[in-house]
Amino acid sequence: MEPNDATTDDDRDWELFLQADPGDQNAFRELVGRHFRAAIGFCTQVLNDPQLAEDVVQKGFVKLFGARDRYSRQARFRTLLFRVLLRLCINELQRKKVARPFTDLEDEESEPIQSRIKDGRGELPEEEAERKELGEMIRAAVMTLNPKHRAALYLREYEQLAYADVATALDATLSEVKIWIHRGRQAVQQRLRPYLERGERVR
Amino acid sequence: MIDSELSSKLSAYLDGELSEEDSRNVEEILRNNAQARAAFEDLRRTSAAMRGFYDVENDLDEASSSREAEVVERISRASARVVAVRSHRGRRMFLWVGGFLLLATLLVWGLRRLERSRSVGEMLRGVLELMESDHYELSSRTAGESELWQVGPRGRFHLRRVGGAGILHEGFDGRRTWRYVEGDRKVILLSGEAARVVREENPWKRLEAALWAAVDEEGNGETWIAESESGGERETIVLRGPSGKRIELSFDAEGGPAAVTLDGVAYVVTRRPALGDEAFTWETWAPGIPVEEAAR
Repeated sequence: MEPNDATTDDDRDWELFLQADPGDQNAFRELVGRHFRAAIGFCTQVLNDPQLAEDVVQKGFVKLFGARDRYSRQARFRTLLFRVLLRLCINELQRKKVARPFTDLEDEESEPIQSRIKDGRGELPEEEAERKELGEMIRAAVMTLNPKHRAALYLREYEQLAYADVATALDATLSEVKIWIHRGRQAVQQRLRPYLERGERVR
Repeated sequence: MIDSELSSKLSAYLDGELSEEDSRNVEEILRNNAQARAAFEDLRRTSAAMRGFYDVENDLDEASSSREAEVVERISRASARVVAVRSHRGRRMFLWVGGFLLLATLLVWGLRRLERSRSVGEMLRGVLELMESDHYELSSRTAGESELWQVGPRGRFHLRRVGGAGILHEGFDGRRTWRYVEGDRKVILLSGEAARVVREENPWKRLEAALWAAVDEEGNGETWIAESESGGERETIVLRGPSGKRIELSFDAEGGPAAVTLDGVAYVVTRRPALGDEAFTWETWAPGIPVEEAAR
């Protein structure tokens, strides 16, 4: 995405956020729709619970709109959204104590997020099995990290946010963000060591 | 194996988060250090693997995609509702504040009215208190009207006037000036001009003016002399004007009465015993009248 597009998008986000009238559902629908997937992805990664992620995303938007008089445009809207969502996720994790190491989750019968992954990408069965195995390894490594580190890694790797934006979203310093991302990658790298040594397809 | 500092720098370099100088240093190391190159390559592949992982994680299947619209709709409705509630709450708050201010205004207005409308009982208690303390009485009588004026310490007074319009009471309790018409249920507190008239245009002032006129034809009031003569059981105040005219107000040992008739009005001044002899001075008897006490 070009910087100008980002600015334009952010202008539109703030316009929708600050001016949406309760009588005009379309404005709310447009803003929520623009950020829904990013928000769900973020919360799912931090919480490892898609159902809870939905609830948190709803709470996040409601919280933002409920206090919109107190917000002014000091950051990108999406960064602000991530910031609110992270706080809510951490509250949920503390409250429900769902932040367990991956080893505890392996035998869980409830549907994990991979149930949402689209099947049948035209891959050979071996390739698909390998992709799933790789995914499980990354997930296992990511789930050993604490929620803020998970969030930092996600915002950098998937959302491609600059460290400064990650720091704003996570209410952290640049140095902390740098360390969290580095440690997160190391943890994943450790898990992927056999693949990396074989030089197999990890892109 | 590379050290953790270089490893950390490689991670930041991968993200384009190093300064130009640090970037050049890292590039130099990568050119000359095979281990660093291998580590960087592992890091790059790890990062790419993670992006792939997140891509897959966020790639919703058909069922989830159709559900997405529902969830977006639900969240939008909840968001709009909270804005509407806040807005409604704001209006409600405005009404509450407005209502509160209105009530407060009414309360203040009511209290002020209450303050201005004292009960007859309270007025009577004030009069009784005045009569039970040290005070003077001045009664004046004309053909159609009689007045009794009682004055005590600190300028407190009570006037009872009987005339064709009924019986009127006016008073000053040291702080408030009031008026009461017998038969009414309320005493009216006076302020401003009405209070000033009641306090200043009273029988005492009229007696003062009449005495003035009686001893000083020119009415300049500046040259007349009062003398207080104590002799035996009587005490006399003599007012003498520049032309020699004189008026005597003579009290007995009990403090009264001293009587004088001026311009057809009979005045009787009584010094109430409670004051005692020591309290009897010209200043307390006729406060504000410029006078020389020639003899004491």
